[in-house]
Amino acid sequence: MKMKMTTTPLAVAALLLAAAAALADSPGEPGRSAGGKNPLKNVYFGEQHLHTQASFDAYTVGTLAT
Amino acid sequence: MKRRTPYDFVGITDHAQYFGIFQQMADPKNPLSQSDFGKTMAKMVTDPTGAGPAVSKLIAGLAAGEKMEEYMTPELRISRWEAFIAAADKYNDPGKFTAMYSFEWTSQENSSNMHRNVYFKDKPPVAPFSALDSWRPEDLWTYMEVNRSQGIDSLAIPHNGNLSDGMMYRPEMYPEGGPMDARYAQRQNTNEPLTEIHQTKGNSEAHPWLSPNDEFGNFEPFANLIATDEPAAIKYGYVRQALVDGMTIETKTGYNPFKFGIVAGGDIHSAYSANEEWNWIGAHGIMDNTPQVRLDPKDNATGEPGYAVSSAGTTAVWATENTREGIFEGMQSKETYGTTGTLIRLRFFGGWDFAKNLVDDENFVEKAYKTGVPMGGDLPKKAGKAPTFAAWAQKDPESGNLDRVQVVKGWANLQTGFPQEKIYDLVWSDEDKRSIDPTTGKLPPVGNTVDIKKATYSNNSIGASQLRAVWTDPDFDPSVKAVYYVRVLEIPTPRWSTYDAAKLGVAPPKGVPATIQERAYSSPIWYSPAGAGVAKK
Repeated sequence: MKMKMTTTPLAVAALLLAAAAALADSPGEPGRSAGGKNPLKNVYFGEQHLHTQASFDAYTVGTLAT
Repeated sequence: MKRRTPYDFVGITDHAQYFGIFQQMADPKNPLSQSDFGKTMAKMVTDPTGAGPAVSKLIAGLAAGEKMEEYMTPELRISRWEAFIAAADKYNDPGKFTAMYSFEWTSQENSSNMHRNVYFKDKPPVAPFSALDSWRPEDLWTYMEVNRSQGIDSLAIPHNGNLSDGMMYRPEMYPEGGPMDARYAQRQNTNEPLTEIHQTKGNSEAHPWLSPNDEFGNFEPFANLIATDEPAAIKYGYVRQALVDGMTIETKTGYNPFKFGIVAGGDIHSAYSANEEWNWIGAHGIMDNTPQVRLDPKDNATGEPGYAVSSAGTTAVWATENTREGIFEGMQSKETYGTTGTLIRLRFFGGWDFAKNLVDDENFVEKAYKTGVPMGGDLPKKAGKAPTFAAWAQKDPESGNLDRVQVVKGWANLQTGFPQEKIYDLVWSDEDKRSIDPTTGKLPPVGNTVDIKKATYSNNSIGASQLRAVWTDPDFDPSVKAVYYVRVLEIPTPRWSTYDAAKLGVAPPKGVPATIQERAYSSPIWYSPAGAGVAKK
């Protein structure tokens, strides 16, 4: 039952980053990949709520350092 | 396993109680591994069952509010938090990927989830604030206000209202009760601009008992308080009702404590954000990390079967740039939306004189910002007969087509104060085949292409890749405060449990639907007869 999986905050960020190619612009969303500030805004998707082994209840369900 | 679509930002929100302590016990070189408690806890690595006594002691202590002071010293708290800051800084890459400073304040007196995620702008605090320090939201706000006075800005995001046992959006002061006074309402309004509408432990938008006429309002419900067989109270646990009750409190006190923008998240405890339905790997470490255990009807980590949990929701932020400041400012101004995990693109603006063809204009966005307000804003002072709204939605290329775009309008009955609501279908796919039934006022369902056995679906025959419309409120009463938000529905696609079942070659579990309509919820736009900038926030 030992779980092998990504664990530390660093590794999580790395995993997310690994595939971080910029999303293509969509209509109504100019400038995502243009660089600099876009006053018309771009949409950015993300995870607002995530636990790692630094949480007592993640550690105790076996989300461990590998 | 690899995501099909990368994320642009992340906020790791570990619980502030004993932040980062237990992983230290698993390191034999660390002094924390030397105590009896530490030694037992360290067994999680090799022999999870052997760690049982330490885990039980921990959980019982947290439930009783008993502190293990030896693991709460300033040195430990600051050093573990600094380790998190270093990790966030390492992976924060301005313009490309943002790693926010964040933690979770986990107040759960009497099994009522009063949890808040706390987000910082560009500077971190010295240490996080935990529910062991205080489980009263007012004390969390004091912590935030003291930090803010020193230039460390933050916001808090209440979540899991559905499992708060009717406490999260109760229009009273917590925990003592009694009507909210102006100071309480103002502090909540200032410190808590957002709320979480969807996560693995259920959806908090609406409940059939509160919204009997909403045929889409029973999405991924989670009925019982965590690890109990006690059903959570429904009243005051859901966002739609809170949005209306907040306006009523504003009328009484001058401040709207529930003036929430919308976000969503995972609350996954396995260090991976599984929002993609086809990529589900469980939410609770070794408790639910295989399809077999997830489809088992036995109770799992939450006290319900593994298949009761939903896949992760996603937060979308409209921002000028992908940096900590950009994301934080987007959150603070509520120019956000939440989804059930799909990456639908959604624009929503309100104004008084939008042209009927505004959404077809090549300068749509520029004109909408110039003459109206985006999601999360207040309509400018009344300057027309009825407000106009512009909504534009584009499908997630990796997910199902779009079914429809709706506006949910809420207001309070002026005599009774009871929340009222009406849902309007603005624009929908397959217009040649369906229209609103004049007797029921409902748009027929879009259909369903899912092959449940194979866990596949088709985007070829139903749904649209993009839907857009300008809409005028046909029932507008200028004397009544109102709140408007958009809900976008996808065509039915397989639920994660259906993908799991197909992998195992078994029938999907009973008790949860085999197919779901993923969706996005915009932050609201508010109308007040006094006009924006005249009324207090």
